[in-house]
Amino acid sequence: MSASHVDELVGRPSRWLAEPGAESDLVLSTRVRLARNLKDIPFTQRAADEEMGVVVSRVVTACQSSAELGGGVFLPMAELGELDRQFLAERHLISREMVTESRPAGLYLTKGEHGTVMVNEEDHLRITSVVPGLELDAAWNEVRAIEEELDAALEFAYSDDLGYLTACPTNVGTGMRLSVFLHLPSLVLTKKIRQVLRGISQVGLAVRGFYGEGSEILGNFFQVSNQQTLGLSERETIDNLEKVTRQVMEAEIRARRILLKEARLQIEDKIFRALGTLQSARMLTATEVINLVSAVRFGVALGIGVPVGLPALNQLLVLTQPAHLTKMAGREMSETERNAFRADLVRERLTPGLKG
Amino acid sequence: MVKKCQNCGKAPAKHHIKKWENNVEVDLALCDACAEAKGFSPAAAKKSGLAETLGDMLEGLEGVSEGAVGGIECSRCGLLYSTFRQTGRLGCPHCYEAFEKQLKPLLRRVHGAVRHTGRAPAGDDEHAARRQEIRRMQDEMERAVAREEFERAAELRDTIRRLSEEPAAHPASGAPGGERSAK
Repeated sequence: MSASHVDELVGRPSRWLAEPGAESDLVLSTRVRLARNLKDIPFTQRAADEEMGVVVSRVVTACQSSAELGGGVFLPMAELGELDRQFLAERHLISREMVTESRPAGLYLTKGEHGTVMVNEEDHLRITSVVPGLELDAAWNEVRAIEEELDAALEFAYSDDLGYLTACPTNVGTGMRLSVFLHLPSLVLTKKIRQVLRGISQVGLAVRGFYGEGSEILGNFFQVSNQQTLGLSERETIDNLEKVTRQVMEAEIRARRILLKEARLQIEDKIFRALGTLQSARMLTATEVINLVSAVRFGVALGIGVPVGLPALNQLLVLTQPAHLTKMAGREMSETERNAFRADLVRERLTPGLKG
Repeated sequence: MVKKCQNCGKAPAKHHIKKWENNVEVDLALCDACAEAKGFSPAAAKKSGLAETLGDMLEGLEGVSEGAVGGIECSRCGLLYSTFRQTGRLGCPHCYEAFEKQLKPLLRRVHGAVRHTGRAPAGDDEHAARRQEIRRMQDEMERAVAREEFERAAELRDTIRRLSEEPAAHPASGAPGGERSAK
């Protein structure tokens, strides 16, 4: 039954990639996560399986009576095969750790994939909201509305001194992790990126690659997030991140102007060659797609007449991942088959008139 | 055959680094000295502060009495402090009290602060906000005393006294939880 809920997602794009948002040429999405734990039960890692089961049943009951999470479903990890779990991870709906979790844990998912609650990850609850573009307030309001409803039904571990108590002391306090997912090709091309990333880490923010913690940087995509959760209010955390994000965006735009002034023809050539490859190649690897999509996305941002839209490009970043392809094909494929299937999908999506 | 360092061409290459240059992934094979010079070696990473793990931090913070501290146990979940040192994960909410002394310097280092100033659970808002405000002022008072700003300290002491005696009807201004987004 849970697997069929996953199947429903296959053809559907994630909201955070498919809809336009503010500043969407530079910011793909904004994510807010709140870590919460139940007061009377040990943190997940130290809880017994039956205690984890109690967490699941209490949290799911609370979610089911929440208006914000209305019409959602709970997907217990135990009912999902590895492919389905991988699929959810590619969609950024569950963490990499959840893919291999064998104890009671799961994901509460709303219809539109906006609000989600991961149950029994490192913390009992990880309440998350992801919205397209640079929309820190929208994401925060959404996640807060969910949290307030769950707070009414559950008793969270909280101390006046330290705030919300979390399994890792790096999350204690607000339990809030805010991140913006940025596309910064000009800063990479002009070699200013190192300096900018250093600046970001000096003001206490963290920078990560495409797939979060520990992942390498692909396709000029970066995730910038707060690290401090204690001693700053939620409002201050939001304002800080917004301020720094806007500074980084300004630096990207300055670098963009320099590039256009000094190497316009070379840049345009690169972008249209990338588009040509995406529209014509017969085999593509996942990494290739990310890098080519990055180049074409850059072209859209520059307004140089690239005949594709940002949502179509953004969606390719998720749809062309291995588990998505396997689910779409409905069968396991060899690497060669998968690369060919991926190229067909990309061609279909990016060539006007080819589809249907 | 051992591969030579791509930079100096002499010493054996010990570090294999993937790097992004002009949108292209470049593989670098460097010897110890060249890797360090280019800022890729673990030693250099440590200097930049980015590769610092919780474990490293903890070690630096209470390395002296390691044995004694490691034996402290949380009375609720039985987690040993030494286990926390290894995993970086606490066992239960009570661990924050059990290891309060050890965690404080860590929290200060990680967050630059040891007191929560954000939202509180509903229903607890008024009391919690006021208690927080009082604690914040106590901190400030201690700092004022340390700076020998006794007048300021006395002002704070009086405010704290007043707040502590007031009925719970007026949460301190700037209280968390009550704020609504302005945008």
